[in-house]
Amino acid sequence: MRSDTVPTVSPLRAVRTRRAVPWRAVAVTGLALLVAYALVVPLLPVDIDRVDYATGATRPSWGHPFGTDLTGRDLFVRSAHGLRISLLAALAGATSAVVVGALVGAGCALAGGRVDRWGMRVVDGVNAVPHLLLGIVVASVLRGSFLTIVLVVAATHWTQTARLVRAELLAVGTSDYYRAAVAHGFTRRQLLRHHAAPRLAAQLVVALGLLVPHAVWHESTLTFLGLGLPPHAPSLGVLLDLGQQALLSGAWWTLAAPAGLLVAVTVCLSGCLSGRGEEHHD
Amino acid sequence: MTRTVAALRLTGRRLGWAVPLVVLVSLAVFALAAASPTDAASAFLGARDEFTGGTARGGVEGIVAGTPWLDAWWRWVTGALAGDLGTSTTGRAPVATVVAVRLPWTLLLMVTGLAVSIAVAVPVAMLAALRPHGALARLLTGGLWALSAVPAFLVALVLVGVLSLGLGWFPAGGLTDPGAPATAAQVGTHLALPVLAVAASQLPWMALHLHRGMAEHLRTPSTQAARLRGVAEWRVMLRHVLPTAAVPTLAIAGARLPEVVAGSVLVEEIFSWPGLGGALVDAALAQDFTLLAASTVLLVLVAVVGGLLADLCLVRIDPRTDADAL
Amino acid sequence: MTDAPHPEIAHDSASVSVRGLSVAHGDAPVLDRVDLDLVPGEVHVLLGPSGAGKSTLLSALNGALPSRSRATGTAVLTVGRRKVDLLAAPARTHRRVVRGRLIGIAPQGAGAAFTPTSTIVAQLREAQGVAVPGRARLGVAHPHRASGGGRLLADLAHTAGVDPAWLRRYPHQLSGGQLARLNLVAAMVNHPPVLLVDEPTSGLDEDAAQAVGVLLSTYARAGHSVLVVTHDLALARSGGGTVTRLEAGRVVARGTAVEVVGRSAPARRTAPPVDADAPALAAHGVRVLRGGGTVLGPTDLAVRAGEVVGLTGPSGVGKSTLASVLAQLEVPDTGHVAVGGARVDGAGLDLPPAQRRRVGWVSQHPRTAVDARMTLRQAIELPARLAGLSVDAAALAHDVGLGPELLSRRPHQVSGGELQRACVARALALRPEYLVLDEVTSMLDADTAADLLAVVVRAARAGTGVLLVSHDLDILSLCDRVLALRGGDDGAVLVPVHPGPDLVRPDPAPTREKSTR
Repeated sequence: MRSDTVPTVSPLRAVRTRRAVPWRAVAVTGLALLVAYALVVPLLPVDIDRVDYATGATRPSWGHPFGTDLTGRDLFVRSAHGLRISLLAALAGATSAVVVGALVGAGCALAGGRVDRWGMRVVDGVNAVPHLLLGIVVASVLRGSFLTIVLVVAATHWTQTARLVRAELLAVGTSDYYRAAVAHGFTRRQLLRHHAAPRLAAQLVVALGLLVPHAVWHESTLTFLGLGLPPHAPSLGVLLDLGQQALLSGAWWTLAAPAGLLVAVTVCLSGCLSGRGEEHHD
Repeated sequence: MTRTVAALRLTGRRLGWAVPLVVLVSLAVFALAAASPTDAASAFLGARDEFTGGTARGGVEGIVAGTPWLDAWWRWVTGALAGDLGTSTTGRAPVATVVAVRLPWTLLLMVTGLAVSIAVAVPVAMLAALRPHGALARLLTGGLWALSAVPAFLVALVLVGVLSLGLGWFPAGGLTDPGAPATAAQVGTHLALPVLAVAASQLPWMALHLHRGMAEHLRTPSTQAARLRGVAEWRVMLRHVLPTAAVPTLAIAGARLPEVVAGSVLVEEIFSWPGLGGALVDAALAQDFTLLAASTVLLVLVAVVGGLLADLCLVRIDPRTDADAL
Repeated sequence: MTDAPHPEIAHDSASVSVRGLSVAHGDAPVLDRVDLDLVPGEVHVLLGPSGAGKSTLLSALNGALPSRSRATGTAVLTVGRRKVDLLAAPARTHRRVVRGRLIGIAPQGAGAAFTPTSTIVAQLREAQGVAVPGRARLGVAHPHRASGGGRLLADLAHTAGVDPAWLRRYPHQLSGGQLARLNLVAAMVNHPPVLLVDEPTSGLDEDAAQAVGVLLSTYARAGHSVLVVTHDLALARSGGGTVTRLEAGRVVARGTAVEVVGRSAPARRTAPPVDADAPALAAHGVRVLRGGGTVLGPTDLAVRAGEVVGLTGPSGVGKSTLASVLAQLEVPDTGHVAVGGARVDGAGLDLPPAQRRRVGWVSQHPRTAVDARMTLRQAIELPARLAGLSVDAAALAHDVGLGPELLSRRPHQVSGGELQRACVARALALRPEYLVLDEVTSMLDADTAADLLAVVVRAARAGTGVLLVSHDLDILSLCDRVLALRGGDDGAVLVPVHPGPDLVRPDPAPTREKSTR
């Protein structure tokens, strides 16, 4: 065997992967369960706004797996509704952000020159403003609707995707494999089809996946501050806000249910994507 | 020498760049205020104007008949240059006074929080990197990874729930006990939980990035070469591994600092800390646009200066950094 | 030795005697009963193909073997009346007593031997601080400690031919050749009686390599024992001491350089003369400017169909720039390129695909030259498929020495050398009229490089014109003609050199390793 044909996969890594828990599979399963919970439970014929002080503030039990809030509303069902609303808002916001970002990034990279310079300056400008701050300002004016959340997330997060897409396109354009492909007679369309598009598509999926938990976070934060969704739409943020008030009276589970779901969604989503986006580009 | 000059150029460029940024941000606030469906009248009536009758509304509109927003913005700018930022409706005081009182508390919270997270992140990352397969490393990295998935305000709520309401170690909010003077002891005990919350929200990314950097640089040819020259292990850690591992972390810090600012907004709101972030949220809720504009602009400036400081550190630590390209 | 009468010449001397050293990584034996003697005043050269166990031998002496390796035998370091068995000594002894004080070690890859965040002088002073007076050095006197550390460093730098200005710089501000010398200086800082050096000349051009060779001989002549691990035959000859050849973990030859390496010039390729009127890939008055300066002066060059033209020159002189101009990837600022007599206007995507395919190009950076999401098979087949050619990736891979099992791997799963060969296969698949190969053997050991070049030569025999960019003299000796780019104030200029005597370093002559025949 020739010296430079020694396999580069180190035995150490092989050992580690053999022993390790399949985290990716766990995360995917967890995410599937969470999504099923958010989609199926709200279909149950339960009035989520029915107030029943008789069963107010009961601890988690078989009848009420997540307990009830101070006014006796079942948290298992309300949390499912909340998760559904939050996930929808986040998905819509993240998708718009990725689409806008991809268009701007591709535009900058392909146009080059002055368009690129000014485009990137705008991106820097938006980035220099803390997202939440911008969100608060926007939400202070356009308060209390689903659309606000989508708008806020899109308006503050398109820049990351724009940067990513621009950088990827420029990196492809200067890479040696692109130059080799040019020398090998690829047409522009073939270059896009075989080199640029697959690389971008993979990056965009990862970008979207990473943005969704962030968008959930934004929704719940803004709503928590009283600037997001209105109280009658029980999103995770609304539930957290109510939970904080209930916490003072000792009903910790009112906070635990939405908080647990929020963390679980974030963990599962980033678990599904871990390792992606770090492929060997060099 | 040339690097000092380059660092100064970087400072000048960043600060110069902040001017159009401030102009744009304030313009945006005023433009949004003008576009607001809940206009100045409802702002005057309070946030929940859905409960207000039409007659009351008509009366109020007559009083606060708005000026075009660009004019309003120009008046605000000229006033600001003269030191007059307008009057806050929520604070019932001149905005300049509100801001001047609150800014130091915000800076105190941010700086202490960051210092605590750095003080924890460096040893944690080092310990985890030294024994990469040890139980401690798994616990630390796994725990930090989980912590990074928890939003800052949840961390703050849990801290309140456990350390304040549960164990009663620290007060749950405010700058001092009600009515007590702002002595160092009073502020110190009230500062503890907010600082912990800020630190906990910054610790994960900092420690994880440092850890990754250290794990990578622990076995690079250059550190190995230093060991082979007989340099003691602790010195290799401090002089060879830490600086190189800090480089990528610092490069990210510049971009992460706006998030520190954002995180402190939430923490201030939850702990009723009398800082700028709390004022910002109150102003947004009450649509107090003069205060909103001033506090937004100031927090943006804090973020810009923070990012600049991170980049200056980067230039100082890594001689390969080109200050003119930052 | 402690009471040496003349401090200025009283370098501590020490010897190392290795007996029956065997090392196994897990179940795989790496070294098999190796004997080796390092004696004061001599440069002992350890030769062998990569993977022969050279670096493992050094690690064994350093106490730096991976924890899963088992070593048997002895390696006794004798200093004065004290003896230490380097294999049996605990790690603590190596760390506290041996490294940097008794044994100086210059590891492989000088380019990365210094931490980028501090200056060279800071790191040299740090290494100097290792041997604080009073710390036990197995009872060995240190005649130089009395004078100031800074003064000492300056002296050493002077001896090593290191410009004092280099010391104040950061590693990234120095060239590979400068770092190679400084890496040796760092190992010599405390005047250790034993010096172990791993591949000190890899990646260096000939001038820098020669300087390193001289430095090592000088250090040995001052009464130190030096062990050099290398596959650079020129360095082996310049050492003047014992040469040991290691293959597959065993010592297969030992003696003087001439005995082990031989002096024979390589069998010259007896090529039929190429018709001067044959169609050619030509540069006519090509100049390239970058950032206000001239990279490449007016250059005329023709690669005729059927010949192999070598292009050499120091690193950074513009070889790759000229290569990409000839590969129709870059438009020269003045002048033009002609393929088969027809002038080419424009470059890259402005040219029709069929025109671009006439000249094959292989990048000098194999790691970036293949799309990370393609398997090697896809990478080799895709360009040919798009060009409408039928292609057998397995056969092409076989030609360049790649096993069929590698074809289903992705770039990050194979070595740099394997990628390099895949890139050559990819270019050959298009059956171009001309081939521009940019340092395609830089990551291959001598045997593999020879095999790959045989493929290139075969292609040339079949009528392809080949431009072979390289700074490896052994490889260039296979070319029909060799041209060198020499740096100048107005950009680099091309000068013809003749393969053979003209090309060689003054002494000794370049040869291929015997094993490649």
